[in-house]
Amino acid sequence: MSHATTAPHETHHDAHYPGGIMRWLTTTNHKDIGSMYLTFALIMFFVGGAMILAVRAELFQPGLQLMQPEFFNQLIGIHALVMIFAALMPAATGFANWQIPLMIGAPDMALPRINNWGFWLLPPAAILLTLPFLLAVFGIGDGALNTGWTMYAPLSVQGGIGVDFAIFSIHILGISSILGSINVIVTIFNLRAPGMTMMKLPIFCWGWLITAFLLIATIPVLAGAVTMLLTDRHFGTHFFNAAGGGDPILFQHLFWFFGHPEVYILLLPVWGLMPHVLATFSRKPMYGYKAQVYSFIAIGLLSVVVWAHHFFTAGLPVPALLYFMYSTMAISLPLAVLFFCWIATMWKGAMSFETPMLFAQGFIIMFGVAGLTGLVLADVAADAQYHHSYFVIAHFHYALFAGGIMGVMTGVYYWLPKWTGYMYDEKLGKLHFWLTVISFNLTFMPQFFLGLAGMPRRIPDYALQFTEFNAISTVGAMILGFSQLIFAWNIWKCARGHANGLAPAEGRAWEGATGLEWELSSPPPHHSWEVQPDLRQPGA
Amino acid sequence: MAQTHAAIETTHPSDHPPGTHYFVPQPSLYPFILSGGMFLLALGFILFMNKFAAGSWIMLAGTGVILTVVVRWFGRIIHESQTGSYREWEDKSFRYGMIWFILSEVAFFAAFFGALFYVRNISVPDLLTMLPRHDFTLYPEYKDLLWPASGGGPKGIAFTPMGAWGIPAINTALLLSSGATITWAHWALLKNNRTQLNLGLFLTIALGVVFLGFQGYEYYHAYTELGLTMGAGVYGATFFMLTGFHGFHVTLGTIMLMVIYGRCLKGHFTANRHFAFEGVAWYWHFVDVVWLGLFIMVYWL
Amino acid sequence: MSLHPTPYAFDEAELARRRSASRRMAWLIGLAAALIYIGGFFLQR
Repeated sequence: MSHATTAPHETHHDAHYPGGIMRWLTTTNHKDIGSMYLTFALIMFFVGGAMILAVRAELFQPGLQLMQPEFFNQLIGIHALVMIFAALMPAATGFANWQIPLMIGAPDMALPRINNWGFWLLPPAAILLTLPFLLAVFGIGDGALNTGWTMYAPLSVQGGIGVDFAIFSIHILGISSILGSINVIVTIFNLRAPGMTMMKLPIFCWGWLITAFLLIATIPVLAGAVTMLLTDRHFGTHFFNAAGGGDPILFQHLFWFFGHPEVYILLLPVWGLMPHVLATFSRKPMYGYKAQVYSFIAIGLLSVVVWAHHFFTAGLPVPALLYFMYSTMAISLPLAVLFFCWIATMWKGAMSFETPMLFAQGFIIMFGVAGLTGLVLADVAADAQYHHSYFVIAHFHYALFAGGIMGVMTGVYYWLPKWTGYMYDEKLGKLHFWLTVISFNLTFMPQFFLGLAGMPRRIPDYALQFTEFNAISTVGAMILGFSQLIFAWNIWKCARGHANGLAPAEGRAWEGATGLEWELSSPPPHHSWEVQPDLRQPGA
Repeated sequence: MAQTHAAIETTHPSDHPPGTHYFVPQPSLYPFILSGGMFLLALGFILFMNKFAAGSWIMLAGTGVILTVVVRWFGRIIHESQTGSYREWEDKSFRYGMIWFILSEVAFFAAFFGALFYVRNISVPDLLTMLPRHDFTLYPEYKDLLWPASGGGPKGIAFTPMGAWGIPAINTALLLSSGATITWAHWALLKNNRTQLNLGLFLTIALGVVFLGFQGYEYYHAYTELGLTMGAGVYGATFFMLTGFHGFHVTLGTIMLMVIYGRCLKGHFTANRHFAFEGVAWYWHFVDVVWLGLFIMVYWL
Repeated sequence: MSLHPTPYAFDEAELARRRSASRRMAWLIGLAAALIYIGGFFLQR
């Protein structure tokens, strides 16, 4: 089989590519845009992390030491929005940009200028989100969004200018997500190499495809919800005001119709990349490809019909409670299929434990904790006790840090050699893993017990009996936060691999890796697959 | 720009066999500037709503940037299309893209329809039946048990709801006929009958403009004579947000129709290559279908 | 999907050793999980 791909005939138009800052402002190249997404995500990861370290410092002891409750409220809400919308989602989109064209044998993403637009909407949105902090310093407005990231009415209807900033930030972030999703869907449908049928599609692309469907179905609903919030605030409507026939609970329905699928939007790309990593380092084909694809589809479908489990205690009718409880628990079935497929992929494999594999192991175990505690929260009767407690915080950090961010780290370490052309520093990677996994559990395991003991979330001060576990949690959070500097340093070192004397990576950076992306050189040529590989005849 | 043109020529798709050399546009500054314009528009609107004098000026600047970039960007795409950069392969991408964009718009309207169904079936009936169920009521002013029953609340204003069989029925007829005229124009394009194509498009635009005129009159009538405003209880909120966003989409659709009408007059599009025409037609049909939902759910029932 | 086969860095003996090690570890973890599960029945509250 011929593959003239690693010898690109592109020199004739290389001359037209601008250099310096203009390269990044104007690029239509999926790899440049992917790198920008990932870099942006890393920066915002530290911004959101700094906010929550300030929060944890305040919570180190009972009483108010460092900040007023108003500022505390702003920090927790903006931390969540930054981490979800400006760190995790852009990181996943960065993966999509870098990997999907490489994996399906495409020259680039299908709509390259739209792709660039999708990225460049993010910095304005991040500025809108955080600008009110700065404005408040100059005496304009009363600070950032102070309602928590869920922006529940009526609190958000009464809030200050920060709510307006958050609303428009969400609008712009939403447009960016929809543009990214359209691009992913079109690329996967239209730019696959000849012979790559949908059931031969790499599973990472399947994960992202379902993610994109969910984004297109739910982000506009969030946009609608915050638009109603805006008109309630400034244009006299009564969507969320019972005095005019509306209902504050309506906001919760609309918000969580987006908010629950959002969990899977954050996790599906990670579930997609996990089987690749596990198969590579087990030196075995992945187990249950079809079962995993069908599970993704089932989870995608279920995720849009379970939203009310986020507000079981808001006063829903009993039949609704039962329906949402059972449908929520039903998600554990396809999710269990995924867990079994991950484990079966490793079964009897010739395993080795490089950094991506370590992160994958940490992911499976700790994401398992998230799944099991989620089942507890899905139970209506138990939730009456756990709702709005630290138990919930611990649960969703096991889901979104151990499941989401550690999954992203798995992908970053796995694909860094492909992206940069150099092997990252394995020692630093392992150090980063162990510090992360230990300090993560030190931070969040105590919060399960705090929640069970009755400590409510979103408070800057607490009763004395919660002191010890909060102190442990804060110490863990500080270690967790600062050990991420190793991650940033390792990426920086790898990106400048030549100057740092790192070993160059082969095209197939990992000996057990399979898939089209490993057929290209590391880093891949400018137009990844200028001539598509023909997969119609099997063999070489 | 000259450089960019040269590059397009060298990667001219007809030089390459099918399945190779997908059209990847040259680097472009439009997306970055457009994002900046949107930032200014959002920032200006926030400041405007919070009574800062600079707000409306920043909004104006943002709108200017957005309009300039949109015109230039689409101009660029039309140029690329006319100079043969796009083949069936690229065309298919645009079609998929348009379909998923319209589906995201469907989801946006679904949020407002969802709010309408919720207040009609849950919150308003709950408020109305509070007294018999709980021997207590927040708002004794609620008396009427039927939708739209939110007029008498402490924050509501007495109003007359909008009837279905006057202007809204005429508007339904207008939009449905415009769906027919654009299909008639599409048939003409397929048969290469340019006169019928231009006439069909002109009629579609005219019907859209008349629709918008009636809609404007209806709003004027609602505000001045019926007491029906955005603040008129949750009926007014759902009525104006649903019909307002629909009207906004009709406006966009009409502008899009005008653009392709201009292109048709210049002789663009052929019987087998006319994605822009079809994309606009799909969008127009989408707007049409949303209207049918509005007519039934908002005006009629 | 692999277009060219890659030689493994591990030799055949090392691969076999790792395969049996991973199987052994899986049984051990499974046994531990079962013991914790069964132990739960004897926990008195």
